[in-house]
Amino acid sequence: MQSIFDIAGSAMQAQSIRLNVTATNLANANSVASTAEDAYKARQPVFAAVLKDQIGGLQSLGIVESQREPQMRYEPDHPMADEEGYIYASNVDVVEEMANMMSASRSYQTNVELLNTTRQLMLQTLKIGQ
Amino acid sequence: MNIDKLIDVHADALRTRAHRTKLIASNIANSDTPNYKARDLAFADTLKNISASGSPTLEKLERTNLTTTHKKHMAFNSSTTQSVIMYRQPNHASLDGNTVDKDAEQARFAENAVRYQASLEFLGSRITSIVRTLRGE
Repeated sequence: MQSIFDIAGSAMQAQSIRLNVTATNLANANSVASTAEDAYKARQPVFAAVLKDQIGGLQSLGIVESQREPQMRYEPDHPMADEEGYIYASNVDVVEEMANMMSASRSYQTNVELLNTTRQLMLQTLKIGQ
Repeated sequence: MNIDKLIDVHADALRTRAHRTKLIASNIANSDTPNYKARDLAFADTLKNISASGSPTLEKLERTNLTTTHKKHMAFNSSTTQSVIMYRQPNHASLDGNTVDKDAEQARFAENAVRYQASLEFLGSRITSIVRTLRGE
């Protein structure tokens, strides 16, 4: 039973990484740059089960950047505009990020619930025969 | 007199329930992991298996049975290592290859927790009645 704490704990850790990354993406959704390379690219964590084909938690393998093209806008008055008058906005899809945020927070809640139930069961087990 | 006989099937049931809790917790934790396949154990079969094999260890049950396709392949002791953990049949296909149905798993987790508590109650009342008998009250 003790390992459930590890399993749910690892899931909570992973989901909070996801929330964190989503927050970064949303915060940078409106940032602009002078070149396509410098434009902010949306990030996404990659999850994998810790032990394949065995019972266990999950881990975050790393964070990947979205390969979508940055949004090019013609704004010659903008201080960051290049010679041709274009600015490059981030490729963050705000709707996608909001959905991601909801999914992450729901998963987090589920795992907290899991932990609480397990804790109660273990406490009851300790009191057995009394 | 064997004390295990007095405690009956409830200790085994409790152990199996604890193991199932772990499996379902793992399913829920990995509900966002790509290519994760949800698993569960067949409760009745597991209980039968660990009750039959004198000193049962659930870890043994986790191992899969090996198929021997050649006469020189070594046989696997299948009496105690009967695989009872199975992959769940998904209701619908998902794009990332994950077969966890989060709501269904949550319902199963709750059900399993209640049944764990039931086993715990049975076991607890068995133990108190044994103690009462010993005291002669």
